[in-house]
Amino acid sequence: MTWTVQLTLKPPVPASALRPARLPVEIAAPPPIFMIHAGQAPADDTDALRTALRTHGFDVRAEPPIPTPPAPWRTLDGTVDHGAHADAIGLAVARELRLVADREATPISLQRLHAAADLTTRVREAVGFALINLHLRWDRHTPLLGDWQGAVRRVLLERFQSFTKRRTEIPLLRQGFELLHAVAALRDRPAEPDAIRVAWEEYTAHHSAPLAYGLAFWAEATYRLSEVGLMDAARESLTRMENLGRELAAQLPGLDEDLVAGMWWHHRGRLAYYQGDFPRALDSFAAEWRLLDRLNGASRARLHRNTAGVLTDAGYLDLAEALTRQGLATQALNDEPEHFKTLGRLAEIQLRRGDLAGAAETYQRSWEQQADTQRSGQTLTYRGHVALLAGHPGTAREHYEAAEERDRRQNIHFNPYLCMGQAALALRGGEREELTTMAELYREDFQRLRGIQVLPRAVFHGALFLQDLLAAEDLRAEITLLLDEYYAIEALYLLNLAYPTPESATAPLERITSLLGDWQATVQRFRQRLPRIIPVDTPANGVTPEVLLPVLRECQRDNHWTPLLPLRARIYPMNLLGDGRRT
Amino acid sequence: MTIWLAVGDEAGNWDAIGKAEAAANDRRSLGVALVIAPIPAWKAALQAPFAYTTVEQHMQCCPVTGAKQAHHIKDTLDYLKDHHLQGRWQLDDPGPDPVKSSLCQSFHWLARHPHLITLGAHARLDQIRADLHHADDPAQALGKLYGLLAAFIFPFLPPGDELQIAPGLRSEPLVDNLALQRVDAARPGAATPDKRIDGDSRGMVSALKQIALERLHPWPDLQAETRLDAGILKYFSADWQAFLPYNALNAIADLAASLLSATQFPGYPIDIPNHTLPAGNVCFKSLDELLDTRPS
Repeated sequence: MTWTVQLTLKPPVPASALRPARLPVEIAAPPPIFMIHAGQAPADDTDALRTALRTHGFDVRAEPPIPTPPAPWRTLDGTVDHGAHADAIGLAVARELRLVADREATPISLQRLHAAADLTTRVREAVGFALINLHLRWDRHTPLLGDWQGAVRRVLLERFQSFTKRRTEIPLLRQGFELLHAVAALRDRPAEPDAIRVAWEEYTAHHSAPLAYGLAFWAEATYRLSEVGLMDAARESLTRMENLGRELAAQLPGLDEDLVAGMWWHHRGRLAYYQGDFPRALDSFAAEWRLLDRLNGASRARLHRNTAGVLTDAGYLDLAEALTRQGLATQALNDEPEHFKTLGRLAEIQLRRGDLAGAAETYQRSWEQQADTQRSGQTLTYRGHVALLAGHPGTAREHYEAAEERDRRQNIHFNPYLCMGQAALALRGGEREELTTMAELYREDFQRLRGIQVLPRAVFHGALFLQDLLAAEDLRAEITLLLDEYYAIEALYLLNLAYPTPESATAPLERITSLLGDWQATVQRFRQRLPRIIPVDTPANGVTPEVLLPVLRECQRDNHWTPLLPLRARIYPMNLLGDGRRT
Repeated sequence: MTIWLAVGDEAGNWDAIGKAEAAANDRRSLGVALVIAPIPAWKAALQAPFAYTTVEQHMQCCPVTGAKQAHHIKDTLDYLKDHHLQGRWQLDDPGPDPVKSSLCQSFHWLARHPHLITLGAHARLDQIRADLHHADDPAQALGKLYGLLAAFIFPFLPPGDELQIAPGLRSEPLVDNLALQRVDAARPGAATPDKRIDGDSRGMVSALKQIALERLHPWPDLQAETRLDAGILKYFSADWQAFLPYNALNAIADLAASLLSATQFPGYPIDIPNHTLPAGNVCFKSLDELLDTRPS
């Protein structure tokens, strides 16, 4: 922070006719150092902010710099108005605590803040947020604070499950360590909305925690729920977060950028992505990219991975791979627990590119990085898909069987992504009886699937259709479901199966071209907003809107699917179904 | 409102700056000096006694012969050489030589004066060439150095006052005068390279004002309250002539330029270490200090 003080300069010579010169000089605010309050409050301290901090067991140290006279008076003696200095330091502390917004950092704001009846409460909320957002400079010579920051990084940002817990008499830190314990515990058990709610109720029964601690808890809950595909519950959890965020922002006007950055609203983008709303997802991520410098390594890597996810699905594979590799580099450096997820993202990009050997190897690396107790059938399922596409049905079957076994251990009895792979395997092997059995066994499970899981549902039903176990009308219903979830590229694969000519598919084609047009515009906007991240002139690649839209126009013009057919083999995961000919 | 008058003079050989043969690392020193005071202080200073006369009269006599003419230190340098009086001087211990003694007394008087403020700026010739000589015109470079010095003292004048700066008028080789060079170019055979003519006062004054105001630009409040002007002494006010004889003022400016040379220029015939100057109203700055643009 910089502010302006009046610097009074002594004349260069003592001639009595000269006067001291008063020059406004801009100086940089010293970053305040926050620390544990030792317990002794000087009686003459009239600083309301410091008094409030001490009430909660904290304190702050901020030494004003002595401004250097500007050129050409640098060698002259200067003095500064101490009142202005004190105000500037008070403002720096208030800004660091987000108690005033940057745009309102004036002495009047500070006076108002000092006079606020709820100052002590607001300072508690501010410290609570700072303790988990880690944006303050904490005293480096207090081991307790060092351990606290390490614990927050491990548990909230890097998502480790263990951390060093310290005993402390400072309520905010004591409650904080308990919060970290509760958050880490969420990862120990299956992500179930009720269990999560009970965990929070148990925590709040014992602790009157600041709002930010709720924000941290529900951020993790949102993440966990979305990880296992419970999107409705995840959205509810995000709503709780957003409500807490609004409540907190009412007390901390300087919070805006903090809440946009890092783990806080990252879920907005993720959930929009899982809803298939690429424009909203990319716009949310773009807001975070602007603040990249303020993100810690784990949050940066997450942002890289999740942005890459959107770009992958829209076909921008080069861009997605560049971002994914940047994320991997950061995570590898820090040995972060989510490294395996980013490797999984890279493998999917390789798979979509057709680099099946590379994808197999990367999935293998991802698998090796997962703790044995955490391994579900997911990575094995993807390895099965790779083997299937590579024309190794035996290997695919082995992976799918191993995935089944892993899922069973994790108490997962229906994995739609595994089932779709198994159905594709049966289709490719001409195992009509196997498919018929699967259809009977899983039809109801698949019928229930919504959200992102309409994709494996569509692959499964596509397999049934190609084995003549499903009517074209039912396949058209699957296309509608896919488009309802914004799977425009994937829907194209089924289009020529369900509709004899482009003319008969006018309605779905219009929806597809409209969605593809939106994505194209969104990615262009993203590039323009972040040219440093994604060069504007990077050519599009993969099955992108740029590639598909002219092909679709050609199909419509000639009323024939022929131009589309060569591209279908590149549409993952629909291409698990092979060339899409009915047997 | 009080009018402050600053009279100036150059130090060192400013002709050298424009010469093609000047080496890139020419270490000769150049500078300018200004003596500044409110008009009433000037008046009082000139009327004050000096030895057996007044300052006004002393400054209108040759230091060597005592004849009534300008008090010009340059005129004494041959005398000092002939009498082996060059080298380190102590102002409070001038020795028996009357000329040296008189000069020491003059320097001492100026350095100790309670109301006359002596400012100086100095640099090596190559630095002046690099930093101020961009117009390839010594008058412009000289004006800029005066301007930097004016900006340096300007904020310390009481609000509402006015600073009028009269830099020393100088002659220059005909070849340095750009306008005449053009005329000569149009009249083949008319060039007289060794001839000296009046320097370009207009260019010097405008460069002075421009750079001073540029330097003060970040502090608009200063200029709002205090005025700065520059020009030729005799044109400021005809009234002053009655009590401020210009040749006396110019002699004092010459004395200041000599004091600058004696304290700051290596190799100048008179060597007065800066720290031996009596405490008073003298302040000499290097060009580096005046130009320093590091952030504060």
